[in-house]
Amino acid sequence: MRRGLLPYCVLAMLRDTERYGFELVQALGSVDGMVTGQGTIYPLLSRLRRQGLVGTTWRESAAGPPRRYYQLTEAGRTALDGFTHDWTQLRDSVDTLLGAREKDKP
Amino acid sequence: MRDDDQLVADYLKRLRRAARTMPRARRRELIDEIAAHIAEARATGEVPLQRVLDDLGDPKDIAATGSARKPLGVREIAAVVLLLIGGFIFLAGWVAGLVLLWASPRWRWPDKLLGTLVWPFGYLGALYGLLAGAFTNAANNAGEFCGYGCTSTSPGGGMPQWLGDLIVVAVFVAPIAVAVWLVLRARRVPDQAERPIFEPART
Repeated sequence: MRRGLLPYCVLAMLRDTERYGFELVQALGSVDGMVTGQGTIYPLLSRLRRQGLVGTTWRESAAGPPRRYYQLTEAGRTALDGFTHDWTQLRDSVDTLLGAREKDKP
Repeated sequence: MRDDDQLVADYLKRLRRAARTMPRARRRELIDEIAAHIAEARATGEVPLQRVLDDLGDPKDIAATGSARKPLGVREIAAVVLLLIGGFIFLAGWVAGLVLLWASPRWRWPDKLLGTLVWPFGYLGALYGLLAGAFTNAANNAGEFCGYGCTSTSPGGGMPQWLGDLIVVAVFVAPIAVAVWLVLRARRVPDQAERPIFEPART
């Protein structure tokens, strides 16, 4: 996965629900070609937290020690919305150039 | 099970070593999170531990992603070296170091000021200061003419031996200390600079 896109994929994973680290990494890992070296997600999460794009909360878990949950902040949501807009535009432009759009049409 | 515990301990040890240049709080957070990840994975028991560790990846890669340091550029290395000993190259070397110091975006102005003032002309300046200080000291000067490196705390009379020693140490350690400081500052990555690459366009 391209380095610059991964932060936004992490934010997207948190769009609707908060998740703890292991859960988040598993969800990202289930998307093909997303992550090589799952461990690098954790420094990324730490960075997003320092940038104020995600927040963290400790919650008790049914089994085992408390878990650190990550959730999207307002700033994170704004960044994700901005990226979604830009990405959609870019994707459409590239698709047009590649001619993929035409081929898909019935 | 014991073997697994050993495997985890080894992995975390490698991570701890690889992450030693990170700020302490950030390093602890990272190690805690990785340890929790491994514990969660073991609790599900779905995947063999070795696979879990392989999927996490090389501790060096993990630490490198979280590293708060970046390597020095050629110009920053040249600046620090020239500031230290460039004075011996007809003073011009030190001036060149000064230009590089102030031109580099990797230092902020307080660091640049520090690099400029401790000591001017680097070790040449320090050496000159020492010689002048020793000279005035030996000449038993009234403290009116006090050479560089001589804090005019000696109102006439010779300096006590320990004060002289202290000054010698300070004069020779200070440039190295400043050089180390400059290197550390130049390697630092401010948080604002580590933004995601794909910035949303401003409209």
